[in-house]
Amino acid sequence: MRLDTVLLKVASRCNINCSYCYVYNQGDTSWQRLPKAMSPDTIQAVVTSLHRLYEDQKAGFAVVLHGGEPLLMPRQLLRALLEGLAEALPSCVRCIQTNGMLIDDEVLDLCDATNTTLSVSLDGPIGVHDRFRVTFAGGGTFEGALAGIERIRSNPKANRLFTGVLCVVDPTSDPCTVYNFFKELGVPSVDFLFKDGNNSKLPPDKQGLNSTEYGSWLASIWDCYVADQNPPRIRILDDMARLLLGGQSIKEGCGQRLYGIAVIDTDGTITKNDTLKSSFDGADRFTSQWTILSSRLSEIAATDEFQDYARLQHPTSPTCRSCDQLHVCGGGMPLSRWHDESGLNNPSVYCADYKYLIRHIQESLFGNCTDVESR
Amino acid sequence: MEKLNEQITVDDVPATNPETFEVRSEMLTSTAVCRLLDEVRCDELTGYSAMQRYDRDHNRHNR
Repeated sequence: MRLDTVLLKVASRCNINCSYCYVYNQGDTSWQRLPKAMSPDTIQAVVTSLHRLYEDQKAGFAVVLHGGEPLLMPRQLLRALLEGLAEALPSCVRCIQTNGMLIDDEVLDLCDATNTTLSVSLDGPIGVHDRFRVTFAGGGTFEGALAGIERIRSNPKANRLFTGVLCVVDPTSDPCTVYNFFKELGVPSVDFLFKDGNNSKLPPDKQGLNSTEYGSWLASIWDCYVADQNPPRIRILDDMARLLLGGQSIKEGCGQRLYGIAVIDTDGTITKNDTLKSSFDGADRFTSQWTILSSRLSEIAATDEFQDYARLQHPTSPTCRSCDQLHVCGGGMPLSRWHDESGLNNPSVYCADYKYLIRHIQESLFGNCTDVESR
Repeated sequence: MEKLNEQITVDDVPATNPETFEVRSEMLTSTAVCRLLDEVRCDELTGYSAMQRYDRDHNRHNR
């Protein structure tokens, strides 16, 4: 299997304490046992290993610096990593996913020099953002995140450096207000994500398995999106609509393509998709004790254990397998299918939301779905 | 940790490629929809390279 994404957990701690965070506040404790940042030896091993992966695959992949908060990594180590990756993987995309609070001119200059892009987590206007994205003292982080975005936008290379925002959906907020906020901010793309949750632990502000708070919220975003003559990219809506139009999706959680995703922790341990952490403590760990210091990524990707992990992206529930919308939702993210007793063999906790949203997009694109189905 | 590895997995998924339906004429003036239609029409943009192109301009890897 080809890897399309390598996520580098370059820092295992964070400078803020979002209440919905799957790394620290959903039951996983692995961060407590990890080094705070990748060491120089691990950085060198990562650069060497990823260069070898590129040669083995003969195909590119995206390298994403993640955390915790990746900009907590000491600057000299961040510089060594980004310069090493730029030299070893000149044709691969390299980006940093940050909460924006620590962006300064030194970071921007380094990103510019190494052709690395930045994406910032921002959930909407201050009242929406600060509801969940808070400091350890409980204060808001909106002003700091916005200041980070403004620093990027005031840089002469902003168009190349700034790729967009990650927005975790708050279904109690007004979707049009959130959309217009991002429009006014001039963000090039918004990746709306549902909050982590599963069949044993409902996501925040979701009343039950049959409720559609998140689906109807995104349906309203769709209405704003298609009416906008100069819209940003909205990845999840693009993926769903593209699938309905006969095309393909580009990210896990939509469609039926299998994605090759490997995560490397600060100590060099190779793990599964980190979002699985929200299911149970250690859910993202392989049985094999693979580490970047001694294992070859292309060989790991070819193992049965890795391919079994990748196939978790396909839902197994009979409900999903017989659903006429499976080709669009793909069963959603595996973490959302989890149940403490039945494992992943369930529809997503967001199944009703997906159905509502897909039907809404379908009707918007093609007219009444009953008419469509009878054609 | 063992629990996920014990999950049933499926090798193949049902072939449910949608038929191509006609997009409502009102939607053909939508910038977002026209952009998507262009992408779907262009095979290159719906293949593996689409991911890489999107990554270059945006970021597909948000968590």
